[in-house]
Amino acid sequence: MKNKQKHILIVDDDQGITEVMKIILEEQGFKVSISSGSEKIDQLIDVNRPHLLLLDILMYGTSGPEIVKLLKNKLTSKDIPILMMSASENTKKIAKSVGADGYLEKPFNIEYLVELVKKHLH
Amino acid sequence: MFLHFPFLSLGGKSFSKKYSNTENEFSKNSKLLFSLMDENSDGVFIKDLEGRYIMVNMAAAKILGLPMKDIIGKKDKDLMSSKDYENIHADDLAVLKSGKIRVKEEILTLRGEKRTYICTKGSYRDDKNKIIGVMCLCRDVSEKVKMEQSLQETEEQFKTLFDNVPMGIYRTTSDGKILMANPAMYKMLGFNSFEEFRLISLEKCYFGPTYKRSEFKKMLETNGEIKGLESLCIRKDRAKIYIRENARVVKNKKGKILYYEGTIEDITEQKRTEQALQESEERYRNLFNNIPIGMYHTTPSGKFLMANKTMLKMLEFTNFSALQKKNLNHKKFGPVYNRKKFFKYIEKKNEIKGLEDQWLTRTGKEIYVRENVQVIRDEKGEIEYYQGSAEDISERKKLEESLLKFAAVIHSATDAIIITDNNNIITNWNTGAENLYGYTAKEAIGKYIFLVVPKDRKNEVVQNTRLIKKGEFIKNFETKRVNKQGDLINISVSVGPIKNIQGKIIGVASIARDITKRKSLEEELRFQKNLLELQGEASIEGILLISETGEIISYNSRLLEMWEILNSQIEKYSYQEMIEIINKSLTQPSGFPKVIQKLDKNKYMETTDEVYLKNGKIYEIYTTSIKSIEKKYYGRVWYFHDITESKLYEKQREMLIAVAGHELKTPITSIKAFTQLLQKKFNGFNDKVASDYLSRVDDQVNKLTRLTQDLLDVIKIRGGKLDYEKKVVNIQQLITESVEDLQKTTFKHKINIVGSCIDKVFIDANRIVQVINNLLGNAIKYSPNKEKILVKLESDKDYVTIAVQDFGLGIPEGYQEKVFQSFIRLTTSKDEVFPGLGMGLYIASEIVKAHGGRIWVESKKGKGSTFYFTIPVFRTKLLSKKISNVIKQENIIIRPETVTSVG
Repeated sequence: MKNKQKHILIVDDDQGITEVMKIILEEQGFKVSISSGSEKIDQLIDVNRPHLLLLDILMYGTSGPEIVKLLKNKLTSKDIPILMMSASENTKKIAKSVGADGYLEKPFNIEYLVELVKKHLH
Repeated sequence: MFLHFPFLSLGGKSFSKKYSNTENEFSKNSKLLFSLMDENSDGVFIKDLEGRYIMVNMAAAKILGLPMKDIIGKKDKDLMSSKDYENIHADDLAVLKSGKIRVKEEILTLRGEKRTYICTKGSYRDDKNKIIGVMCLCRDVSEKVKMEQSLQETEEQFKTLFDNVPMGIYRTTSDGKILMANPAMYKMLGFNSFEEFRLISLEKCYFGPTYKRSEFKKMLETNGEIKGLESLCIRKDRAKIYIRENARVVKNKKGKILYYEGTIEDITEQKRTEQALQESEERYRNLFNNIPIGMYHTTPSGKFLMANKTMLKMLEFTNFSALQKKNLNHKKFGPVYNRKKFFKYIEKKNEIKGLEDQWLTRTGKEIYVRENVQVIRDEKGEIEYYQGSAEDISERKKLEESLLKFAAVIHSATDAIIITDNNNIITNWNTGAENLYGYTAKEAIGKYIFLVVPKDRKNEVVQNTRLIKKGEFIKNFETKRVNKQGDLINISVSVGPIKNIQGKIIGVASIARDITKRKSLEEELRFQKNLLELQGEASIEGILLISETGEIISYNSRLLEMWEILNSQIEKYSYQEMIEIINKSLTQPSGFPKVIQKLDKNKYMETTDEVYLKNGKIYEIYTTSIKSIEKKYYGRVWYFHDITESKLYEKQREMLIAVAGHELKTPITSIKAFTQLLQKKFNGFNDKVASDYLSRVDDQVNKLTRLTQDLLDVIKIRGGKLDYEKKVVNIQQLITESVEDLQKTTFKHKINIVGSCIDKVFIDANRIVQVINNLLGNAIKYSPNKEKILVKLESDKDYVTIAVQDFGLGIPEGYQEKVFQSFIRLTTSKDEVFPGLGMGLYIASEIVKAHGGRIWVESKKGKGSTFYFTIPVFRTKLLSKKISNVIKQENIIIRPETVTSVG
């Protein structure tokens, strides 16, 4: 066990993606939680206090950009790095415009995912 | 206990040694014995060999419930039930026979009460150690037995409860080790047995509640307990459940934490039901609010109990509470029909369907409403409320009215106006036509137009009709017609199409006059005006004609409709006021005042604009000057076209692209990630073959991703929606990098860059890389037996030219131009498909064109192909300034809400 296990929260409504990301990141020694929806996400974050958030842009219910705005405006969550993911080629643009800390275009290489997450967690 | 009682050793040899030396001693001992017996709380019974009691103590007497004297000399037979006696007697006999001590639990019914006794029996001997009787020590243990029993029962009950409650019960150490858990608990988390479950630690596993345990611990230890904590929980099989948890800390007296204990409850179903309920409620509310029909409930006195959004909007309210202050029965609001009659009718019939009448909105605006109303009664038959659905049919009514007006215009005109349908059958015939041709409307309507056409001119009519159906107008065409008397008349006729609201041609209108007689100039003007009106009324566009001096010369009824102006008012408006009305209807801020300013400066200007109205509609506005050949200014014409529908369609198409892209790429994402994971696994096993297979899967997945992207790009190109983010880029460096990247994917081919070019270009780097990758990808694919591929760079003062040359199969002549066409061709009827060419070259050519460049191919079959494309060179400082301005403007335009700026 590492001295302090980092906790990553993945918010995506596609189970296929959350499952594989969980496996990849757990292999790297991270603790990974999953939320399949955006409902009450701020409360979930307040309870779980993840170190990093992987957030899908296009979801039913509250959309990714709205969640970023919500979290970045809250004292308790504004310092948690948020990486936005989507299959859109506008991922970067959207992530930048709402003030997310990074972005991940789907589909991705697993090495890239790991590298990106580590970069934002150090 | 019993064994401490010295009496017990009576049966043994020690007794005879100690106590039976002399008579005296015996009686002394007997006394001692008696006193010992009496002080003892257990009953002591001594019987002789006949079973007669010879000695009992106080406690014994108490047990039997008789005075001592009534016991001595009696037998058990006399004192208890025969069943109890038989039991005891058999025991006595056994003791006498064996000489051993027997301890037995007896349930006896003494003093009319069933009680439990522990009886310790031994032989009673004289000083010669001869057995002379039986002695029995008897203790009433009923209470204890009862207690034990009830304790046992409680324990059992608890155990059953523990094992069978649907609620999970646990006890853990503070660091998450499981001390105890009931079956409900471990089953809930997906385990089969407690043994399996106890091996895990809640702190170090992927399952269990998803909340952070350290937070949970902190909260629990500060408050001592947590109640009703709801959280998502992962089962061993990774399924998700929702749980509600109560937990408390158990401490010892010194305050040290012993363990946590708590209960969990699976509330997944409940959550799901709640969610489903919420969703269905929301869906219903959405439906209720968004159907284009107004729905409401009112009391018989006209008060609103409920109304949906459409209803509110229809009556010009923004919220329901404001509507509640209004009353539908009041004169200046709601339906203008006689409410008393309405009530009389509806109370009798219980419902009205399709009632069409005028209503007044909050602001007093007149609208037409078609409504269905039902009476809802309670069990006693009393009216509870009225339930209505109302539809705003003002548009339709207006159209009907304008049609009526139109008909009136036609009817009163002195020129002959004839309208025919698409089959050349006469549908309208005005008095002018009656006068000119001699047929009455009754005679003419329903007949073919050939009724008045001389036989040798039928062809002319057919040809004219064909032109008109293409949307053309025929003006002042001189020809001959024949009247009822059979006389030929010389006429001048103008013919034009009649369109319905959707712009579809539904008929032909003609205005004719007799040119055998000379007409006055005044009549000529009126003829022209009629023509214009006819043309205008039939138009789906709002038209406004302004004179040289800025007065409104003409307008059509569609214009009034579009800007919600009353017929009576328009006559009073000046051009300036009209502009003001338009501006007020637009969402603010709008670019419209700027357009007007520009027109003031340059009266010859022609502009096209998109404007957004407060009522949600989107109009395209086109205006141009009317001028003579000598450029003399006569005035200005405005066209207003409602493009709300087509904009909506466009928006939906964009949504479709976004959603389709997302839906297609989502499964690809997880396939790709799992493939890579598997590959890593097999690499770990040193399984080269499996690893190789999987890298092929990965290649194919990448191909699929590219194809998906290509498909989306093609859809975007067709909708004119492909975005470009242009920047100043070093093209040499960009090409070098992409060649290096592509070189990695092929071992066989060697890609060489030849030549050099001017560095700076103003491009979307990603898109240009897409072009290069495409061309190189094709070069590799279509030269399977050759190794060499060249990328040639050169530039002149205007263009950078990039060429990709292969020495492979080549493209046959006649196909070289077609390779840039998309294989999805919607316009040509003969679909020619080039398998494998895909969409890449089509996209490449669109990208190059969007950069102001050109793309072409030179190829010879069997010798290979060279694909060329050019990009304009990024030039002087002046130009760069211009470009940066363009970028700034582009940034503004990129936002979809912004109205396209004018000019």
